[in-house]
Amino acid sequence: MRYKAGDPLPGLVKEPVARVQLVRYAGASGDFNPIHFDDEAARSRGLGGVIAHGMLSMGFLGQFVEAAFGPGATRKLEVNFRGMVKLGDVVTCRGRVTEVREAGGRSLAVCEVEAVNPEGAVVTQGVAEAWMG
Amino acid sequence: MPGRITPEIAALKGRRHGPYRVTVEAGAIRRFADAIGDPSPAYRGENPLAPPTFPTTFRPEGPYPDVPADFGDVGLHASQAYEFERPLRAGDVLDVSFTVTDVYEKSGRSGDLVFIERAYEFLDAGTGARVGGGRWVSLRRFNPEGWPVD
Repeated sequence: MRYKAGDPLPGLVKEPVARVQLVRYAGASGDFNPIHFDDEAARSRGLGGVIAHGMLSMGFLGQFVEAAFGPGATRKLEVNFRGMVKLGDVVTCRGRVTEVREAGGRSLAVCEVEAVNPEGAVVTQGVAEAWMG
Repeated sequence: MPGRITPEIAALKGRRHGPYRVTVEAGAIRRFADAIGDPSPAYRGENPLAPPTFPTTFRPEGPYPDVPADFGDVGLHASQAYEFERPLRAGDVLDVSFTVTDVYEKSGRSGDLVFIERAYEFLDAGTGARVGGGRWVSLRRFNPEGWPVD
């Protein structure tokens, strides 16, 4: 895929986050922190209920970047976790190319990326670098 | 300063864990993509690529050699980064290590926060070539006022 600086990337709207997804992600990632599947454990730590793994929202952004640029194109993905994703939330990923750089004879797109919750708040935000060809 | 960093926690800085050996497996990649809900065929089949956040699965055997579980009221994830010299794929055998690069604290709206930063390295176990790396910043929150905070 070829993009130039300023181009938006095709958006990605995920399915609502379900508890079974968090259980699957716990198993697949090895992060068994109970705040991600046990409401009681989450409440005892001051949360309203279970929250998604931050890494799941980063995984959504990884899906978004590789859908835009192709599998294996990601050179770098770095994010800050700014908010929590709750059960039932529909997460939307969006971003745009901020710069295209030449590196070792290849074109590298630098992108701003973010994952947004149903209220429009940015929950996970960062920078991706992806190879174009 | 909040003064939450105990000598034990301060001593984590500079500590290196590993290397420990990780084999990237096709089934683990498929289950990881399934959990994210990513339908890409590139992460399936006999010789799949690994999604860019797959290295989160590169955990040492046994308990995480790091901050004790009872340090703070809740552990949260502040930031995460991965970068790759080349895409990871099934069959890769990697030597993974991480170093605690910083430990610091801040007083926040919702209590005292202790941040722990770690840098990762992924080396090809056969050639020793660097395949990628990462950065993981977690935080532990202390709230002297009791819950809930927000």
